[in-house]
Amino acid sequence: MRQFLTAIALAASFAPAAHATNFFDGFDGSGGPNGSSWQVSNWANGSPFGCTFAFSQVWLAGNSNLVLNVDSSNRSAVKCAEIRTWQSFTYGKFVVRLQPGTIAGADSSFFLYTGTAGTPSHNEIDIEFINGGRTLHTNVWKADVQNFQQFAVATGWRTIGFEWRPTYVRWFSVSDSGVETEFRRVNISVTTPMQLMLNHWVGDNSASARNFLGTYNGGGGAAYYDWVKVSD
Amino acid sequence: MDTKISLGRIGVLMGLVASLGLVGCGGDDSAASPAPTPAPTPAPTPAPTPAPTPAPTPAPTPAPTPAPTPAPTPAPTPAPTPAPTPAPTPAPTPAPTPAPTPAPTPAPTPAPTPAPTPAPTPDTAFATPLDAADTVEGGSVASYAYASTASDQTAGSVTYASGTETFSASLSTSLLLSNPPGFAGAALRLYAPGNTLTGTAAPFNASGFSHLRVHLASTTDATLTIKLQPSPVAADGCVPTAQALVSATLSEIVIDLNDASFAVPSYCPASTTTLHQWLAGLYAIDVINGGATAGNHDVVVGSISLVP
Repeated sequence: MRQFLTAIALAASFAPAAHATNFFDGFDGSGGPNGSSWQVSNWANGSPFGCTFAFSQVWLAGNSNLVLNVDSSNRSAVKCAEIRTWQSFTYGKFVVRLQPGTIAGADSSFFLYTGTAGTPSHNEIDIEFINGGRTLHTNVWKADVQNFQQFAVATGWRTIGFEWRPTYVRWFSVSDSGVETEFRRVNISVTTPMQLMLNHWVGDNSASARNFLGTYNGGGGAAYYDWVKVSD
Repeated sequence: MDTKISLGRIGVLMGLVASLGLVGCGGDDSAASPAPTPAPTPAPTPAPTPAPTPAPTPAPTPAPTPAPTPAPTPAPTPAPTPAPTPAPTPAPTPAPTPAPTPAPTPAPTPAPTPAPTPAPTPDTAFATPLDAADTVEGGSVASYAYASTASDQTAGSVTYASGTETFSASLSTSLLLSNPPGFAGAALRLYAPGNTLTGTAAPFNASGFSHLRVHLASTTDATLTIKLQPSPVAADGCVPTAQALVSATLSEIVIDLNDASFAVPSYCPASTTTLHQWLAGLYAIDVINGGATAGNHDVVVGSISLVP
């Protein structure tokens, strides 16, 4: 019995944070995002990113919005924004209310990620707004193989999310009255825990960036996130 | 024996720690992972040689052919507390060069008067609903519906209200449950200016436009399909096609008139017709609700215009 308890206790102690917990952040207040929930990127990814993620471009606006900003005041050193949860999730519903950025050649996103891109460890589930916020790019990567679909969308605020289950991923929009309407479903089994990420960045006009994002001709601005919710 | 007891006690203690939410294993956010707070930027130590910026996030995954879209690329193994970029060693201040005798400053050239910003070129109207059958531009409005089992579908009629056309069809059963899954659609067709159901076709040359501006809604479904139809219309739907995410509220959607937005469906045979050619002979625009579940499926279309 004692050995059994020991095993249970050790398992509980060392289990990874991989549950689809009831995570919520309304981005209230001011200053930076909650440091116990979010890690803020402060580095450059390299091509095809045409900007450097910076602490300075992430803040709470004081009106219950998180701002992920692109600062292009120095065209040769554009700054952009990214945050990710410390914890990882396995399965659940992931919903966000946001106003994507409208910069041509930029990307504002809400997605899950794990692994190393270009290797079988890479898994990912995406909601990305590109093309000045006029195109929604949905994608699921399993072992570095992707399955994407794009939709023309209106700009402005919207509530949108995806549900990740053992045998499928589905994307849905949420009406003002809270009604979910599914618009895409992929039968796929992705099992690896992933971190939740939000970012807003511009491309570097490399072939890869132009192909995905279009041409970035300068300019900055914000993407706004009202809240993020994860539930079982 | 002693060892077992000790391990057991340690285990129980660790279990208690876990139950208090001090380790990440579920629970709410605040009780999740240890969550190290991102370190505030410490005063950087000047490095003799500037180290490269740590790049926890690798380059985005290149999209395999024909995928046009690499996904955003986050860090594969993000450092829990990413090190701030070391500050580069400040360059030594060069010795000041003796300044030559300054030349007389020329009189500043007056800045040219900036030209007034030209007004944006207005859209060209393609189809503005006038009533349930016509557009302001002299085109017709029509509807059609289809289903893999037509007996399961009941189509309504086109209605006009407040500058929009609405059409719906209902399915008595979900065609998605059949094996293989079936299909269905309810569509509005708005003809190009001056083109009527009974008249001689006079396709519209839209090849010089960059975007399509359309006002769409559906009270029943989240996606609508937009097809650029030539004359004669392609009944198989093998024409440039885009998809739009819509809501119950009429909203303006601006779609690029390029291959990324308008592609011929993958089920179609390979086509040598370019989008430019399709646009040069634009006869009608179809907006389709392809919902195939049981119940009503509607499509709402407001004005359609072309953006230079």
